[in-house]
Amino acid sequence: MTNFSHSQIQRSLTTGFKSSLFPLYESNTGAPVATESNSSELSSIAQIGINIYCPQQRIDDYEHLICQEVTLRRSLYNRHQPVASVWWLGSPLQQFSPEAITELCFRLSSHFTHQQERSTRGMTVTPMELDKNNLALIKGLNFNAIQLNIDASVASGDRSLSNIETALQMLTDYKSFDLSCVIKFSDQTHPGFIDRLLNLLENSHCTHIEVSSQKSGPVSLQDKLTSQNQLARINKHFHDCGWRGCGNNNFFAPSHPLGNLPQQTKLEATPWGYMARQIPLWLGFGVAALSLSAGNYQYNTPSSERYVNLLADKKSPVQSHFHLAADKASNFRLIQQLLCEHTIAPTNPQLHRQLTSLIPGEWLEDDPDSLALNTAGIVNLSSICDKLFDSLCA
Amino acid sequence: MSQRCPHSAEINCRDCRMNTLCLPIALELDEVDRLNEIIQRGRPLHKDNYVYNCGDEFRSVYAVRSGSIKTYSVNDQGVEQVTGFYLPGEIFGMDGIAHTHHISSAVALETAAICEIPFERMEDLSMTLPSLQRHFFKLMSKEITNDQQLISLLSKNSAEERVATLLLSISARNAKRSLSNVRFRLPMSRADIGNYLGLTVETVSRVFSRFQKQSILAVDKKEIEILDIPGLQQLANT
Repeated sequence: MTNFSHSQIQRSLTTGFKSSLFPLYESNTGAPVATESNSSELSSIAQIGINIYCPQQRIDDYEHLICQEVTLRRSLYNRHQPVASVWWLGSPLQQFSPEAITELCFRLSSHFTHQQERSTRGMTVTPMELDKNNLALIKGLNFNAIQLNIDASVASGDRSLSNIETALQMLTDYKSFDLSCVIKFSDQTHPGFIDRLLNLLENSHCTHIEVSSQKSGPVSLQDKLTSQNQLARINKHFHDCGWRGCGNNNFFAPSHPLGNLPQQTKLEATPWGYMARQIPLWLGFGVAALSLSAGNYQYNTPSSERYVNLLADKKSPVQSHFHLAADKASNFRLIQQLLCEHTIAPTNPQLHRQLTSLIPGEWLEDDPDSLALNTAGIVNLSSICDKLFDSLCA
Repeated sequence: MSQRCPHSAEINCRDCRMNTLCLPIALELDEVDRLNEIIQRGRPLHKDNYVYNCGDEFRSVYAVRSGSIKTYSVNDQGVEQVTGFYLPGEIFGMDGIAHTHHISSAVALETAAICEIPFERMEDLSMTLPSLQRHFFKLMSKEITNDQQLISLLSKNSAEERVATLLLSISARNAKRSLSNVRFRLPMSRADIGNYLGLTVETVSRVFSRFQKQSILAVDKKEIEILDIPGLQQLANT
């Protein structure tokens, strides 16, 4: 699960909300920055997104704690707001028994309006966790999306793909699921393994692949170069396949709703992925859950013990609040544009000059009117975002 | 009519011959009596009577005491799709569990008796009988899993495999109720079977005839006798 504590954020080779945009936010631990919205003020037609965060380590009665939190924070939402997206993130299949999953689905349905036709109801799983029973249950409970998390951070060239093949084989019985994959890789990942894995996934009904570079602690220049070459190969691979790229690590097949959107359609990078539709309210429940309300993020305590104790005392588990620093709004917009479109068209000549001095010329297409990233620029997008964290003259 | 007749609304959970398959399995005798107080048993349903309709508020789940129930949904084009057949001792109506309303309709295929288990009242009861709720959701998850596995199995195979799988499923479900697993009456029409399996009525009839010729089945209208279970299992690829 993503840790949104500022102290935990490390520079990453791959882009994403956490590493590329979140550093523009300022944190306030303890008291809320803005008063939480009152449900009576909330529009009953504004869509909401819900994320249930599930730690890998079991917490007693976690499904009931989630329900308690939902009740405790009911002033944040209006019962009649249509739910556009529900994701069970982290390790739901390790955290919950089948009956707990069933019960939590039922409890959530009594708090929220789920019946929206085109809404997403998804769950993150690993290939090892998936079996015929839990897959049937997920389908029977009306989930329609699966995100397969694949850890390839240590993988030799001949590492077996059998558990992933088995999972994909089981998923062929449930083609109605939207299937996406997140692959963790590092300098310890053999390029041959990545090639075989990507071929396998492209031959499945997976339509969205995200790669994420994983390395904790200091990274040697050599290791960084290895990972960078890996990322460059992956980007070239998907470019050649005609998949749409967002950031330097998200790839959408032409059959994916984002893969065939007209280029001018505005996308947005969010902590929960790239999105074409605006969801103004995201409610995150559970340990280390992230919520978004009125443009500000709230982060729940990442400590299981503290989460349990706070709820026992009927207190909100929100630990930190984050708001976009007022002087970073234009940085935020520019980074969003770069992540979603790989190009920016500054209207202000001074800003144009500033940006061209920040972004090395060899990473840009030869276009005097806009700043469009070339292949090398896309691979180095994370470094470009780092350079854009300081105040600009927009 | 005897008090033990499954059609009788006077029957209680303690006496019900389905209580080893249903909710009381997790409870002590005095707890069964408390559960029995919240169960609603109306008059028997006649063929084609509805238990609930698509869009109805999800308030209860239902257990079949006798007879059989068909569930189906209707797509945007108005085409009916049969989603399940429920036999005595089986629980249905879970399609509403992740929504606030039912997304399918349930109708009696023949004279049937059902027990209605109202969620709200069961929640109240669960405050004092925590094992009831845990067992209830365990049962629900098992039923949902079995339903989906059957649907998935039926959707990918040949006509023979699909019909054989359905017959074996009914046979196993009968065995669970201590009924004959080789000789039973199919409560549903050939058209319903075809709809459920994604086959035309003609194909279903042809497959039945073929199975008869192969001495795997003896068929007399709705009466079925499985003559060769291993042969049927082989045909079902199980």
